[in-house]
Amino acid sequence: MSDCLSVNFDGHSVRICCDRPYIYGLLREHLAGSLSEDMPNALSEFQIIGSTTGFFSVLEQGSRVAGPLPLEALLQFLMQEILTRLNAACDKGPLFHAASIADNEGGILLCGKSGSGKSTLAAFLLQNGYAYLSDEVTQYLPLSHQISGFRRSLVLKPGSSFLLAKHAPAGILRFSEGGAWVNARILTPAGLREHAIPRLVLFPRYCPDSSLVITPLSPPKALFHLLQTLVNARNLPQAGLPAVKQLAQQVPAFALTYSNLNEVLKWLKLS
Amino acid sequence: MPTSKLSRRDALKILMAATGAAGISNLPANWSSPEVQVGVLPAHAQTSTFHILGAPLAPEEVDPGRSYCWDGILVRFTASITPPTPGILLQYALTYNVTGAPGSITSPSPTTNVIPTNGSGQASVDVIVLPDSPFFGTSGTLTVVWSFTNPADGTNTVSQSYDIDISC
Amino acid sequence: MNSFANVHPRPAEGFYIEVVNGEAVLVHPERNLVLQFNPSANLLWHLCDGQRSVGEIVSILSAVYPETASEIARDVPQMIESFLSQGIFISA
Repeated sequence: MSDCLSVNFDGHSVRICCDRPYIYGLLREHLAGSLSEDMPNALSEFQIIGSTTGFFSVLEQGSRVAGPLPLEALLQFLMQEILTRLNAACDKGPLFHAASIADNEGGILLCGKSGSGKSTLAAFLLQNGYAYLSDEVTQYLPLSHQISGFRRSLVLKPGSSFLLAKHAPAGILRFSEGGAWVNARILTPAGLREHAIPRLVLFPRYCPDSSLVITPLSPPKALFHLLQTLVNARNLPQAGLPAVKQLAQQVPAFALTYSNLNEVLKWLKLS
Repeated sequence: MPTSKLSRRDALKILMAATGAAGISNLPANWSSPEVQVGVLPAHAQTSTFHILGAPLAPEEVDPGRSYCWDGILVRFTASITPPTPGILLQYALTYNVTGAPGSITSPSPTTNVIPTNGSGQASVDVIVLPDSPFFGTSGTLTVVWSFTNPADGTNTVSQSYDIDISC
Repeated sequence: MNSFANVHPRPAEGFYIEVVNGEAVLVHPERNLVLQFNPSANLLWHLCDGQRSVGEIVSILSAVYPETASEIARDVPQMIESFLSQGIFISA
């Protein structure tokens, strides 16, 4: 008997069905911010099948798409595949490869590829009072001039584990290689947010031993850099260019090079 | 049709027609060398591409007709990543744990190396274990541990083992 | 000027462009390409519509900026040739 989850973003959904309560529980906890009642016309339905050897396969419409995988690899595969499917369908506004947080002044995008340090920076800022929208993808809705994020647990890479030192284990799923999924609620008293009006676009880059360098970006420059984090251009009118231009013209943008998270926090509080 | 005696006024009219009123209002005061910055639009829908080493394919004995006592046994190990992506660097580390008559890995050398995945997201290594003496054979366990060379590609490891029992 | 002056360049299909403060930003989804032009490159892009030759484009810009006519005579063919070789422009 399988339990199923419906993971939702931008009006599209992916369904996951699993007959292992432990796995179902983990997925439920770490995708909690994006779950919804079962939506019709799910983009995909994945079925997780376990074997007696402790490995799992993932089926889609009866065909195996992954596995046999050990448990940790299964979870990581699912988290990535769910997001990729939802990204591919996202069509109501430009979708950026960006984390996003918010304070009382508005939403802040942290744009950058994997390895740029945006998730670590986002986690640190959450610990220091910011509300959470997403750690990975943020959508801009041009009609309402708001941002919205895919709300899952933060997926932290091995190098970010120092951030979790003072937290109790509840809400944290640690992987053997050192990475972790962290329920955002345990990081921030400010909680999760569904939308925010953007007030800053940041392109942070962690650089060991560097002092904080903040470079304002002109609107054309901001547009150029934002487009390089745009993951759904093909779904949008004119490749999303007019909508991204609107964001670049209306919201100040900065490139940040940093090594000290506290310096970034101090600057943000003043900006 | 513009000629070499085109007036500045006529040239500006042409520019206005080409760029529009907004273009003319932003016309640079001076000419500077044209500059182009080139960037990359991400592949559709892709954000973090984190690969997973799945349960490897079953080891297979290649060339079963060879003379094990004199030429050794040839075993192929194959690793597989998800999503299947070519060009991801995987590292293999081979060991042979002798339980009976001695033998050793003679190929590949060294026993640790880095190879890229193919279009199916797989990488293979062929291993020869040769008995130290062709008269006594060898027995033991041949093991490979696969890992990602670049942590940004993935971080999990998998291992495969193959039991060898050559009687000579 | 050599025969290159008679080439009539125009952008390849598939580009989308927005101009912000005189600077153009372009995207070509099929090629995964994003470009940012400074104002001079932006002017060049708009003049290269397949109707004008390289020579005519040089003449127009030289008339607007007569004090830098020699730079224009060097810069314009160079940029157009580079764009043609990269497939950003095609010859009409």
